[in-house]
Amino acid sequence: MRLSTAAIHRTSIDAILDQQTRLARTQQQVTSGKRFQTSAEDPIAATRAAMLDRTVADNEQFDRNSNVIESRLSYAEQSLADVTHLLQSARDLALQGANSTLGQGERRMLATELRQRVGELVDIANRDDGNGEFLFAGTSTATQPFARGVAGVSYLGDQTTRFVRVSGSQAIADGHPGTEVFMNITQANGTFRTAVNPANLGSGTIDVGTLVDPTAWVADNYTLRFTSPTDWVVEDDTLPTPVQISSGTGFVAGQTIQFLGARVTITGTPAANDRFSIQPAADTDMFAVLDNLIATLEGGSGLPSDRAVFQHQIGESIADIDQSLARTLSVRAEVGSRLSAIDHATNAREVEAVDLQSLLSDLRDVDYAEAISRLNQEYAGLQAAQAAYTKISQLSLFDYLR
Amino acid sequence: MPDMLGTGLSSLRALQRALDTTAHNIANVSTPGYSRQRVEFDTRKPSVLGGNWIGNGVDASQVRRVYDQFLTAQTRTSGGNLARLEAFAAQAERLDNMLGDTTNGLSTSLQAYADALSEVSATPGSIPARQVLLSEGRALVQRMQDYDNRLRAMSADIDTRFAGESREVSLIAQGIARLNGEIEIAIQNTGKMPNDLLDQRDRLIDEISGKVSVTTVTEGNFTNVFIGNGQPVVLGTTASEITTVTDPLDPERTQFALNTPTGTIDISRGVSGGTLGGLLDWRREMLEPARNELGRIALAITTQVNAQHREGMNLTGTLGGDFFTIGGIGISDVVTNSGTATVTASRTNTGAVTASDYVLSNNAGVFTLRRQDTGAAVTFTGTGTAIDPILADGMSIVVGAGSVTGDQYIIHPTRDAIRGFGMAITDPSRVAAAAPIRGSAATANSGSGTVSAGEVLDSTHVNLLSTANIVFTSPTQYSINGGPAQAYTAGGNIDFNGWRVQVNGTPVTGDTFTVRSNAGAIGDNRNALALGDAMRAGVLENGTTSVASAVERLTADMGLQTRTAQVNRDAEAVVNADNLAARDAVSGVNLDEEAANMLRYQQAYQAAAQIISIANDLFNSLISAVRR
Repeated sequence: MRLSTAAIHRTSIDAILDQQTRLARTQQQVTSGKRFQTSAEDPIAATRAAMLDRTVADNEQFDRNSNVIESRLSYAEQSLADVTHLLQSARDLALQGANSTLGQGERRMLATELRQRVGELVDIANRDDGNGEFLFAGTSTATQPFARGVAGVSYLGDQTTRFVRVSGSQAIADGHPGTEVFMNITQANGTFRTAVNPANLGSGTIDVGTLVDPTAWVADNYTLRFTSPTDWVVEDDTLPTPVQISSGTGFVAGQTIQFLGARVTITGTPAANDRFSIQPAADTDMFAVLDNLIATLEGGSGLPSDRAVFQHQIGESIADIDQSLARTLSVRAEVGSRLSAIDHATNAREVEAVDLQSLLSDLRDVDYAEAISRLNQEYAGLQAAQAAYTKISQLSLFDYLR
Repeated sequence: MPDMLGTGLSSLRALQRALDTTAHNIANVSTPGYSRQRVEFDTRKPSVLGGNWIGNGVDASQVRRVYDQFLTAQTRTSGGNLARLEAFAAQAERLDNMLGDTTNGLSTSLQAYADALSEVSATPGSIPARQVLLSEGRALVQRMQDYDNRLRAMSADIDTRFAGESREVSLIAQGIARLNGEIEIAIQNTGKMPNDLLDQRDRLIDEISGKVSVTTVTEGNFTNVFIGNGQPVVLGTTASEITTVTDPLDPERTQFALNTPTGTIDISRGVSGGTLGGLLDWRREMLEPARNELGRIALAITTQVNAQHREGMNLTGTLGGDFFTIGGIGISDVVTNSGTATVTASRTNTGAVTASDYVLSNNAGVFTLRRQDTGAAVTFTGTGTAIDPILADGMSIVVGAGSVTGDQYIIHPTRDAIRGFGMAITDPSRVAAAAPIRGSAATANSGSGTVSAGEVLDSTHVNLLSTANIVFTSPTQYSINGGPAQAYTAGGNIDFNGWRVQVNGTPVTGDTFTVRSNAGAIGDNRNALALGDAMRAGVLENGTTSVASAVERLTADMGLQTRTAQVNRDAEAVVNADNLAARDAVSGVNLDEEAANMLRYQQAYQAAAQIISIANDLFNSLISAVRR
């Protein structure tokens, strides 16, 4: 083919410009470390990288969220540990108070110490998470949740639980409303509560009892009545006319009486017509439990019948404290499982982060070995094109016309 | 004796022409569009002398340009294509640099907003976190508006370029018309082709083809140039002027018109190819879809966020209201409308709103609605009056009084959305992170029943925040605020006053559950979580595409189109280079060839000069012989 001079120059220059463009692109890849700068250079990879970036950013936010609720839950965990400790010391005080050798003055001293403990309990319940948000106020985190009024300590927070996302699919509660920790604690043994009739003449007292057969239990009000020092009947008082449920004779002190799956133990010597009530347990709160114990320790005259009431009340207080301890432990267990769920989620995120980074790197990062060898190749190519051009452009027949 | 002197002189003259032409070729080695020229030598008519035909020398009969019409046309076509693809790709790259930025693109702003929202859901009581959310919301708004402004600027930029390029096309057309006249005169005067004028005319046609696709028809010595479907740009020695006019269908953009001596012709449909065609293609295929899609994304964000934000409660204990504001539907009257009607439109269902523009036409009082991109008719209900508006594709359109037959209205459902995009709240305490209601069980309850925190079904219910008591009148029945007894199912929905709660477990008679305003629950994050979910949920394309995916898809679309444009451009550049090489192979000047020709002609010239010298000698010999 015939070549025109202009075409020879154009082709050579075009080749040089083309080489320069490619060299510049490779240079940019090497200096930025990125395979592409805009999505046009590799639309598929850019879109995938953008999606992965979104996941990475989400995960970073989940990390921050996890830190926030981990700290809140740790504060809650510490508070619950303090509550456990406090309840145990209250239980010890109750046990001391139950000692029949103690005089009224000594019991009052125990009561004074317990009063201190209740104050501490209210303080713990009103703790914040270090950011000024109350731990046990539900979501009313600016409202001090517990306040002492005339009728004991009342709850002013709400019952909403806050959930915080720690992964795309998992939201973890970051605390317990105060109602779930300090309030709504079932009294006594959790099913029924016993009481000694204050008008009893005998020294017989009743323990808190246990439920041995939940299927047989019917939640009604019952009276255990001694028709004589050795004979007794159990009557259902719910209806206007009492219905006899069970009866027995030949009672001896410390004997177990069982009816409808409930088992109670009467100690001491009851007199004829002495009554003991067995009722479905109601809800109470931790503050009332301790308040009751204080009232028990401060009251009591030492009369045999009073003694029986006192013994029973101390026993019930200990049972109530045990219920409170059980509640605290179960809440603590829940907090612990949430903390470990956060750990799991964090570990899963860390594993995912490694994966994501390597995926992103495959998509977006330049392979330096390849890019630099390409750079060298293109550099050599450009040099060759330039050298070829200068050589060829020197060739002219006119040079030989002398 | 034959006329040796005459033969020698004819040779000298012819070779002189040849050397002149060679010099002209060398001089024009770099002139674009120049075709090398050749002198055609013809032997003169011989004479009979002594019964023999004796030659009379040579004539330089004509100077011809070496030219192949087919190759020229091919180069012109590929040159026009290349100009179109180059213009498209250059604009596409601008758009891609803006939208396809993988580190600072729209995705980044959207992510920052989502992160700030997540932060608020983790610490709803924190004013700084709320402040960050508002700042990120504002940054998102600004980013969208920034994009919209830049797209608008690009659109205005295109209009300016259109004006400039059409002026240039008009000038080129005038040049062609002038050359038509000069060529006609030259041929009439000499009967020979004015090669350089023909080259110039071809070059001007090349140039006009680079601006816009034209067809040429040769008529006698004229070349007539037509645009589109035969609208004349150059007819003989008259040229038409190409101007830009406001698009009658859309006052925001310009179109093309042709001022011919017989009147103005609308050539908006006829302009394709070349730089102008590339810019038009780009505006239609990338710029306008991008603007509409951005508007649709802003609209989706606003709708999703506002709907959820209205269902929440802020720190002041009131319902959230709107979080973002958004622009309405844009309506433009067609310039040719003779009616006086004002058309208004609003959105009824964001999920169904498309990014396309629509044309609403009045045909003798009956309206028809078409999509502007596809031209397809859109089915709708209603007659367009205020009580019976036209309902189509998520829009409600009302045509005011005074619309007459033939009137047209262009509806832009999303394009203007971003213009009104903004923040509806500026006070961090107004961020509705909390749910507006909360359920709680009375402390005195003895049953095991629990109540859910509750959700909002209807945030506009007047009694939403009123306290309501769900009292169990028996273990199987409850009544709300002393209302009629209702059967209790554990976990069943209890709907009242625009909220819904569930009671679980075994409540006993007398147990009370209260649903009340959640005022004061500054640590509640239920609505913040729901706001986060709303951004992740599918909302566009009838609920299949989330906002984030729509942004990613827009970026990917722009990237893919840019990539395609670049590939097409590069491919066409190769085709054009090949065509140029093919044309140059025929018409281009090669200096070595000219050098060789020069040597050849020079030697022949020297030989011819020698003939004259010999003839002189011969003549002298004869003279001296006679003298002796």
